[in-house]
Amino acid sequence: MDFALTDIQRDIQNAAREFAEKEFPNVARECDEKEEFPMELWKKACELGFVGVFIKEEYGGAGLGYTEAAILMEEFWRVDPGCGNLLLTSFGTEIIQQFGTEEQKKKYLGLIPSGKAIMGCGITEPNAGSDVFMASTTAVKDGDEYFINGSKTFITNGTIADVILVFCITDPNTEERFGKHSFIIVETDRRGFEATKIKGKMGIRASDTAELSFNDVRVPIKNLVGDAEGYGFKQVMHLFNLNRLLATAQAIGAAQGAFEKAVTHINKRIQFGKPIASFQGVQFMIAEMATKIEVGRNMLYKACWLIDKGIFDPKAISIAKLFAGEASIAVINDAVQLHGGYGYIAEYGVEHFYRDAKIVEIYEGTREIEKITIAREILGR
Amino acid sequence: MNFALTDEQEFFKKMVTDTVDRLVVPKAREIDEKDEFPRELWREFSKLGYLGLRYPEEIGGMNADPVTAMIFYEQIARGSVGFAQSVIMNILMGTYFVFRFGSETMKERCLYPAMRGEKIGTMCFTEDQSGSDLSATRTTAKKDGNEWVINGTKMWITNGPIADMATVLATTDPSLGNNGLNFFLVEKGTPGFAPGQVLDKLGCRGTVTGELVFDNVRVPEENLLGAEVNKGIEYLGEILDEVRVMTAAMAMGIAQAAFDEGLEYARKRVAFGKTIGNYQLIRAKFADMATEMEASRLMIYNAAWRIKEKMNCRKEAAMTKMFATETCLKVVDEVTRIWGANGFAHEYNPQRHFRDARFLLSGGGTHEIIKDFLGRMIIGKPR
Repeated sequence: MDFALTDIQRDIQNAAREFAEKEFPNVARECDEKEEFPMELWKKACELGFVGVFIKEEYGGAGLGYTEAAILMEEFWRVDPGCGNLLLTSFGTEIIQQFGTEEQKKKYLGLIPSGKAIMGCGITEPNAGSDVFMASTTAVKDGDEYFINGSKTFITNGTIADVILVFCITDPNTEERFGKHSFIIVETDRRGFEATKIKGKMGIRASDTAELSFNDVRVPIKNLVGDAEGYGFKQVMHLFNLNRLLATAQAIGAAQGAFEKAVTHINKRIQFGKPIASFQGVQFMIAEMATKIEVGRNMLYKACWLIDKGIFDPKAISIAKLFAGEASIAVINDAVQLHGGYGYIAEYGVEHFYRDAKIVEIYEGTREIEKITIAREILGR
Repeated sequence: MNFALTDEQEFFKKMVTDTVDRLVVPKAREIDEKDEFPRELWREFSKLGYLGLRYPEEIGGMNADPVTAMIFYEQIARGSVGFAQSVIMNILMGTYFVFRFGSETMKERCLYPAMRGEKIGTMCFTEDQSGSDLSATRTTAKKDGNEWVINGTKMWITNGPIADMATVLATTDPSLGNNGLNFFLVEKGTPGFAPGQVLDKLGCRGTVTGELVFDNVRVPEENLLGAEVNKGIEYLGEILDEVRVMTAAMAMGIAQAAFDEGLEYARKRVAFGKTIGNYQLIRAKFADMATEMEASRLMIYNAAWRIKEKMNCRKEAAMTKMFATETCLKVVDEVTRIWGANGFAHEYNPQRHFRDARFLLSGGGTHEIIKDFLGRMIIGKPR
């Protein structure tokens, strides 16, 4: 066994930390308040090579692993989760890299790390969340085109994306429920496509989220991801495995960020004639918080290690995300608590973690779905 | 990074799992009910060489690395905690200081027989007024010519009533607190050394635990286990992390035993026309238990790896002990719930796991002490 990061991974970690600490604080509050995506910050992050690092070199990426992607995500979320989600501008490239045709890989993948385009992935619908089979957006073949009709919601990067992978029904009549859906690549400048920003999110407000509507949107048949229809579910699961990993990293990063703020605060804050850090009740909270983060980080890196070895173990990944999500919420709750009234005020920089982190227990598989996945691996269907 | 066990570790795991299933599991209930040291099992188990787990091959040991040792501790505890405590005491705390500081003749007399199971060892820290606070140790050791004279009473001593040899914590001067502590080897038959009251415990039954009395016990100079006088607390530091992580590994052994019972029951118990393992609320319990057990094991292996690499892991070891124990307590609780009223019946095993798990709350450090320690590590000393 070997639990150490490699030298390269350490360098990446340091570079990410330096960038986030230097750049994020300049824009984070404003992006949170105005619900704006940090466009300039995203460009800088692309210039420095932080986006889509797992894209292979032959397609214009850094050819790194998901461990490195997770480390970046962790460091970014440690400073500001909303800004940190600029890394999700590569959302969907995972599917193209794994399942796309050679032509699709060459055409789309290189655009993302270089900052020439933003990608998104439309799966969720008003009536299809945890139960993705319910997705009812249709893609009907007509000559050498598909025409797409339906609507999607809670779509990350919805209003800023140049390309969106849309999860559609391509075979409504099949008995095989796994063979019903496919991903279709939709360029967002196509006629009939409309994105409406969803305002009023609780957290990660710098991350763009939208409702999408498709009204007879026509795309060429070659925009079907891969060579054949009916592999949408398999592709979604691949994407979820990877993005659950990144969500785990998000949870740990946010917990670490809030934890560090709490440690600083309790050493400065004097009550009853002493820094509150000197009270045993406070020390115990810190001990529990640190333990949860340490445990969660171990889970994260084990899942990363598995994935980078090519082992997609849904149980291991779900376990990591479930644990890290709950741990993160608990740690941040305590971090706010340790700040007292200041914890409730935006200016002191901890309340946003409380709002931001909750999403980890919801997206990429709710906590309950993670439990269903884990239990199925143990007990069978 | 590499989270995989080596081929040797995998092989060892399989071997020890089989051994425990074959020899220990079938006896676990009887060990608990009789609450007597299972001498016959001990003899049989000793033959397999595991008692020399941590020691070099040259002296008949297995030379196991810390990760391998943790695999062993977990498995033996899965079989029977009552038995595991006795075994682990001989493997680790009860022999370490003799191995580290004993003379060759002392090793021949005590260590090597202990590695073969012919002698039973123990280590004595706790007293009626000192447990978490070792600086309050009141057992004294006074130099008299070329002998040490030991006086005091030790409490909660694992293997105490049956020990052939004891590593005893005593102070040369109680006013020195932690800086006066030393370890001494005291062997059975030494005048003034006698077992006292045997404790009737909630769990871990089968491990005999009790008082040890030292009444003007005289031991030769060389029985001071240490290179220097009054450095005992420093020497203790050499195994403290391993002891804590070992306790975590035992917690996983208990948790796994309980988890397996729960799984079997959920698959066969029918309610409302279906086996209860079909209900989401029961399934979620398994998801939660499996998650926290997986997390605990990663902590254990990470800490063991750090010990192997000689990295500082005081903080990680403390976290691991606390986390794995809390996980175990949750698991044994949930499994008794899954078992319904049967979880409350002595006829079945879940209640045993429930009782056994409670020992983890003091063994290896109470969680109050661990949190206090972690607080210091992270924030600094309270002012």
